[in-house]
Amino acid sequence: MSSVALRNISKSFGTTEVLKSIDLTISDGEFVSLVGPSGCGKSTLLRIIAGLEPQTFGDVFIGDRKVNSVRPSERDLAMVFQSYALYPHLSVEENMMVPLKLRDLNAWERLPLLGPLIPSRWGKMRQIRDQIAEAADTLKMGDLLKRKPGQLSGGQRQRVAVGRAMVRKPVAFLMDEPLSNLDAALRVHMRAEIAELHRDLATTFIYVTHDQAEALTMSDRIAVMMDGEVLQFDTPDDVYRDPKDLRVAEFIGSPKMNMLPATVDGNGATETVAGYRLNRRLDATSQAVTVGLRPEHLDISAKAPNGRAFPVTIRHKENLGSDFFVHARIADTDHSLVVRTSPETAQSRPLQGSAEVWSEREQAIVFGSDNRRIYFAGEEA
Amino acid sequence: MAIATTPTGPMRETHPARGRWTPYLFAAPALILMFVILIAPVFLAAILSFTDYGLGNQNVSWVGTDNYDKIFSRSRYEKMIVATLLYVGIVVPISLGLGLGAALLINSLRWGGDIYKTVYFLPVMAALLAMAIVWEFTLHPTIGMINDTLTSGCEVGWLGWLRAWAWYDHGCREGFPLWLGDKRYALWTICFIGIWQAFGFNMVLYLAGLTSIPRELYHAAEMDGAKSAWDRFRLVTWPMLGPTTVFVVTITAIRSFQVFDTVEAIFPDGGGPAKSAYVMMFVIFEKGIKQNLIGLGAAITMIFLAFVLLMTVIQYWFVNRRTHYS
Repeated sequence: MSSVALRNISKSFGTTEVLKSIDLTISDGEFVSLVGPSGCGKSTLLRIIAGLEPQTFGDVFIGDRKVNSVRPSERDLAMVFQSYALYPHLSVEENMMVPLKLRDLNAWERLPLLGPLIPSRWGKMRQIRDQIAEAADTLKMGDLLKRKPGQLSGGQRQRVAVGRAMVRKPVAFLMDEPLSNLDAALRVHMRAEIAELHRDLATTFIYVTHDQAEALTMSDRIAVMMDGEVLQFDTPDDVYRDPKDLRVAEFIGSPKMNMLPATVDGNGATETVAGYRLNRRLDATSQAVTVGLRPEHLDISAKAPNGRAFPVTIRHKENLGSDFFVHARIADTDHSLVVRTSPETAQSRPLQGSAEVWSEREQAIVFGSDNRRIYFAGEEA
Repeated sequence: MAIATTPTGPMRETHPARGRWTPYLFAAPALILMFVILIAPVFLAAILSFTDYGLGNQNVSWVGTDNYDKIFSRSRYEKMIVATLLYVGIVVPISLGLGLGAALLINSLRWGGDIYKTVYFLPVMAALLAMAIVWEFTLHPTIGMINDTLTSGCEVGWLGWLRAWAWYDHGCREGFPLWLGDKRYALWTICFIGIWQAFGFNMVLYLAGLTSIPRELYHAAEMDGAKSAWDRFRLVTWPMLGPTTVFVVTITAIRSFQVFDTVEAIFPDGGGPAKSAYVMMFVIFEKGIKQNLIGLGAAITMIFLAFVLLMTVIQYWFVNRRTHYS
């Protein structure tokens, strides 16, 4: 178990800068997700932590040890790859034995043919087998041990990859989109299993994903990355409720947050499209801003009860069973809103019909033209 | 579905036979060609191997297993089997090892790999017959470059330590080997030319095999603690090259069984000093074509075929059992 710290990490491939001065401190035993769209540099960052990719600039610390010049094999980390990277010629059991054999047996004991004859190997092999059995128990895959990776399903392979990573009891686990090759149902199931494994092992997990649902459900903290920068490093709750950057607000949340252009007058009063005015004063004056409204904070009906509303035309309805997403065009503009509502409400509103979108407790989030968050007057920053 | 079955329905009723034989009609041209060109000649050769047939020979008689008895009893044919197996046994592992080594080294280069690839592949493209003549000159005992070079090292002061090597010292005093003229060296020299010619081909096969190994497996090996290059080779490279190796061994072995050009070019009359390089293909040519003993030639061909068949069966077994992992 160990903390992992990144200090001022930069990485360039030729002239393209993929990571720009990243600082990140991950505490001992924490589950941290690196989340962002593809190409944001999250996998590169993970590979820099692993040591598989050298950083152009900056330091990596594992615990108190600076590991810039330490080889991946000596950093005592384990990694689960997106493709699982199981050795196809070895059985599940042999795959899981690899890290233990490489650590516990010396070069002579690992020799082919001759190695098994050395007596000192026998005791060590018995211990290794015990550890494999224990890990197989934890992952409930005792009956798979004799099979080859080619005979396993995607979910089972994923489990073996996790097993191979955990037998050595590394100081931290690195996971590079381990669930992206699984089907949707299995992904949800494995999400819970990985979270449970993290609770059991109480080891540091660094988890790379492009799926915000994985990040939100499993992590203690999320680092939202975009264009080679960490935009926000916070708990899932804070990232969702209190995004510090327009791009974070747009990336986290499904469906996406509604974004509308607005202007602030000299007193901090904000007016957005269709003459809609926010009911609180901004801590800023006289500028163009962007107002964000989460779909679940909006409501749709024939007539808004409080008088402040966007007049809309309903363009499309998505049925998710428990909820409906109603896509509506604001009258006389090119702007659309997505409203999350109950099936009853959605079904009572016909397609192409007019309606009003309003918010009972307005929870707008406002960003300046530099993408930074602008708070309301009196709101905690 | 209904649309698809309607046209065939009535046809089935009116021409039941045509439907049943149609697949065979389509396959017939290929089957006939395969039979005429490949299978029939083998059967013919098998039958001829039990006769004393020769080209233009009017009265052919059935001699039973006489031809085979000759092969298994006379010492010259024993020498043939020994020379052929030795050649295969030496050329296959060494050209495989060198090919793999060269492929690994070239694969690890950042630049310049193409130059090495071209250089090592040149012997494969060159005609072996012509190259054999070049080697014959190079290895000539008195005017050849090899012995010239070796002799010039004898009197050079700073190379004195070489004289500590008994073989070299002996060469300086008594003269260096005749190479192709000495029965102790002839087959080995032929093997050397065979390796020189074959390993470039194996290198190219291994280079192709190496590019198909996923990078992530090396990364996984590194994360699992494989520190040395040898560990990574044992854990990833060698097993992942399994299918390539089976192919390389089979191809090289079959090509080595077929060695003929070098022996024919260097020892046109008789397979080397004391028949030390009397390889199978050469014997088939000598008996079957030159001396018109087609029955005997066919019998040797049958034995040759048995070796090649054995190789193929072993390869097939290996491919199915061991090296394909999914």
